[in-house]
Amino acid sequence: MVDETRRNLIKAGVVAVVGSAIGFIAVKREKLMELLKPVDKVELLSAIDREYSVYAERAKKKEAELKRWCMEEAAKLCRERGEESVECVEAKRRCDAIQVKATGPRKGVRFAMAIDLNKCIGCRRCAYACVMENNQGRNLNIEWIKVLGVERKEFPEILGSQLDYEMAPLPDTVYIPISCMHCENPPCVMVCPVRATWKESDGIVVVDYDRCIGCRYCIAACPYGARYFNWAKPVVPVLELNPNMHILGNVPRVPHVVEKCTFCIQRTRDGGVPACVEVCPVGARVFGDLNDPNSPIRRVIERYGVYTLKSEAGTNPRLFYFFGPSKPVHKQEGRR
Amino acid sequence: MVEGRGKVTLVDLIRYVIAEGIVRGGPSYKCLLTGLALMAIHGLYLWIFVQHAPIFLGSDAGGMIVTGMNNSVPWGLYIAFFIFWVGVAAAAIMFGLAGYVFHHKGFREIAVIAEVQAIAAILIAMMLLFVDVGRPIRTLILMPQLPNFPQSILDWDFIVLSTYLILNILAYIYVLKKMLAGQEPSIKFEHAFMVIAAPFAIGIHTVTAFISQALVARPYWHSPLLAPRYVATAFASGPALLLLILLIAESRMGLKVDFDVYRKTVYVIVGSLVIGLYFTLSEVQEIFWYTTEPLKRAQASVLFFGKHIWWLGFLGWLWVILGVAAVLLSFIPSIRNTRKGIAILSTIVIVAVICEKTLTIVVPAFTPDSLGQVVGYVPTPIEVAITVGVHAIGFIVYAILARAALKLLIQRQSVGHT
Amino acid sequence: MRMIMLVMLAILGLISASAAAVAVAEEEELYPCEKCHLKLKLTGMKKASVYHAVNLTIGAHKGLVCADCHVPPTMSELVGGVNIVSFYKGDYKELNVVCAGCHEKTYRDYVNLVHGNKTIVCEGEVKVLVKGYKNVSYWLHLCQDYTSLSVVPAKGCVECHTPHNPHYKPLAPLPPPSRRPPPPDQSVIAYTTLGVIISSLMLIVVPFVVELEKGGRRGR
Repeated sequence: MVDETRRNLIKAGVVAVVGSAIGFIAVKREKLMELLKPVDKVELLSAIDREYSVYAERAKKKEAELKRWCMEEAAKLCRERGEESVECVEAKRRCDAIQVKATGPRKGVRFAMAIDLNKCIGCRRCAYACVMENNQGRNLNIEWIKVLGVERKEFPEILGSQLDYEMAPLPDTVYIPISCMHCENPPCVMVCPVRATWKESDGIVVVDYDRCIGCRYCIAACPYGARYFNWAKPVVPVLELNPNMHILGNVPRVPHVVEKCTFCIQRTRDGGVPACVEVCPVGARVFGDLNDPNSPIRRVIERYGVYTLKSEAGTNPRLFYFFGPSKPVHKQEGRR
Repeated sequence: MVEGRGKVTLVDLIRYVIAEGIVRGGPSYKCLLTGLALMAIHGLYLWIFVQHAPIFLGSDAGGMIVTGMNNSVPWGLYIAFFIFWVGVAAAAIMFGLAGYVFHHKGFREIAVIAEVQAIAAILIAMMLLFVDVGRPIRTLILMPQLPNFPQSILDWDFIVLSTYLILNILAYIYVLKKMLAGQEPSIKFEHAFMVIAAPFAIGIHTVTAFISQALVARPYWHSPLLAPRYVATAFASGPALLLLILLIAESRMGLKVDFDVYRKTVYVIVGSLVIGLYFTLSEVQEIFWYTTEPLKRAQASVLFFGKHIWWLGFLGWLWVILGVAAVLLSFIPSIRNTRKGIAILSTIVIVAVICEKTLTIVVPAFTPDSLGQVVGYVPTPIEVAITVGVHAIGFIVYAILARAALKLLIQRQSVGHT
Repeated sequence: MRMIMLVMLAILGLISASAAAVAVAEEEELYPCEKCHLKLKLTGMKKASVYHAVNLTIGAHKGLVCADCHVPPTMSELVGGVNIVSFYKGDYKELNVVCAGCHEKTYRDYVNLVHGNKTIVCEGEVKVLVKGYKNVSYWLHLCQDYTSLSVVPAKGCVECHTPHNPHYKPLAPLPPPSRRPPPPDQSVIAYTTLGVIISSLMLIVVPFVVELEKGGRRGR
């Protein structure tokens, strides 16, 4: 009996040795040596040579699907409100305008945003514009931008900040709009078990909604609370649909996936600015390319200097904050 | 019923396990299985048709919105019990290890039950992950290539959990095959199994702790003490559960267990408990004396003072009280040396560790969340139902596999004695 | 002389956009300045006037005089070579040079898209007002082609800052963010769950106890 086991063990050992020997010969030495090389983090994080044709194909499919869905919804609307009604015409126009893009990152571009905390009046218009620009499910109350009201002290401490203030701006309060920081060293990208989220070469951290398994590990890992989960099927009314879409950005989401700010990838990849920058009534937001010496963001850094939130976390955010030229008088006067 | 057959194939083995584990059970055993199956079906139904209806049925209603989890507290009851069961699975190896190290016959005999417990516990843990994940079908992406292997700890967890599960299943099959054939399982195999499986056993729980311990975003977890703490209390809860099962098997099925096994296991349980309590003390000191990190302090006061969520404070202190009580009780000879006393002790330990390791680990890390907002979390009935259902499936597996193994064990014991 | 300017400014300020052309014609009639300035009794550095509601003794442009921006004697011409008519025509951005005269740094910020609103411009653009999330409205860009966008400053200086008191008026904040909607009512599920758990526990425990009793009696 013992002999048999011993024989079996020897057999197994021989098989293992032969197997690994074959593996060793079959796999080239260089390849084995490659395994031993230290991992280049930048290369891992920004899959520069990512094949964008895959996304273009998927975008085309998604576009057809969305148009079909949109037409159905529009037809429903037309039956309800009448063929000539404003809503019907508008819905049809919106459906025709739907475009799902798969624009890849431009070479040598590194996007960043800066927010002037002296200017921000905490009016939350950015948060709302973001919802409407990015086709968030209206039923789930996901807002990618949160504006924190923090007491004006030596250094803004996020703990104890207010999200649900009703009156603004108060004189002794700094308003800190928070969204995805597009970190250079993003913890969310590190933890994703399926690489459904990654940092593009132009600095935008994106989520692939067709790959996300919804484990919410990235939400747990994000130090800025910038990631949101679609807890149910998101609903976007046709009349509020933004037809300018990007497959990795504001294309309407499927249920049970994680989503986040993409610096309005559908606008910025094609030369625009994010919706929050456009809508900000006080112009507190600045957006641009870090690598371009003439860009607005470089001007901000050179003129005013910037700081980042939770810099001790070592994430190197690309959403900067700065205290701009002057303190607006309406705050000094304490208007409420 | 089984007389030293020469060669036992895998089909024979499966046929035997089904016959012994399901068909041949007495009425009370059948009732047990029916009860568990009822809970399992109820939970599965709710999972497929309500919680994951948008995924499986494509319906507009339902979805994970039926759970109490939210964007501030993204993990809830499922992950909480996942952590607990990984611990139970990890600790099962202790029996085999004790048999290996001390050459203790009693431990060696019941090692197969420990393997069954490991299989069941890992199944429960993995199923809890599966019901927690938003898009379970897509987890197949993980299978062939582990896309983010060196970085994502979840990938590591996937590897160690599945490897440990496979190892235990193999060991179970091997031991049962040998016993079915009327042979003695070879010591060499057991030793080989121990050497391979023991690191994985510690590994599954360590990696599970690593999932949360390296997150800068969650100061309450962000301490290197988390992994040792997980392992310490795991070595209290796992053996305690196994002792309970052994006691039941002893009283109901006539299994004979060397009392030395109980006594030595109680030593391990109490020792682990003391270490766990010590770690808790160490954590309290770190948080409340000099820590200047406000978020960590705030999260700790949720746990220790029940700020915002009172029942968390209750659970946190219940762990300390029950833990200390269990340690003190174990000093009393009449408890330590009687089967009844050990049953009570084990129950207390299990409850204490559930208090320490489930929601009290998960929820404080998210309240207040990383933006300092307190949202809170209360499990909804559906979460409870699904969790219960998953546990029921695990216990069905436990019951079937354990009964099949126990029957053979008892038979061998009776042969050995006559 | 300064008073003359003031009166001119006062009158011009009162004239609405539609009356811009008339205003230029009326300029002639309003001379001489004494016509109004005798009534106004303006003295010293006080340059307030009820007519044009411009008060340069307070506010951000405190201490300036009208001639700092308006070129006398017509006052409709502004420093930097632009005319006030642009304001009534709606060509606000043309007036930026006036502000740039003093606020050079801010103006450079503005040109560099640091200061103030920026907007995107696209081909075949139509801006539609969408009333969406929580009834907040939003200007949506509808384009023929979304692949070539460019960014320009959205507004001229005077659109956000009144020229005579350029402080930005704070806006009322929009409603605070809502949390995830609460889970739907689950009382039915709660009861069935409770029922299932209790009944299955009974199923598990009762036969167990019964058999234990039997076994116990047999044992005795």
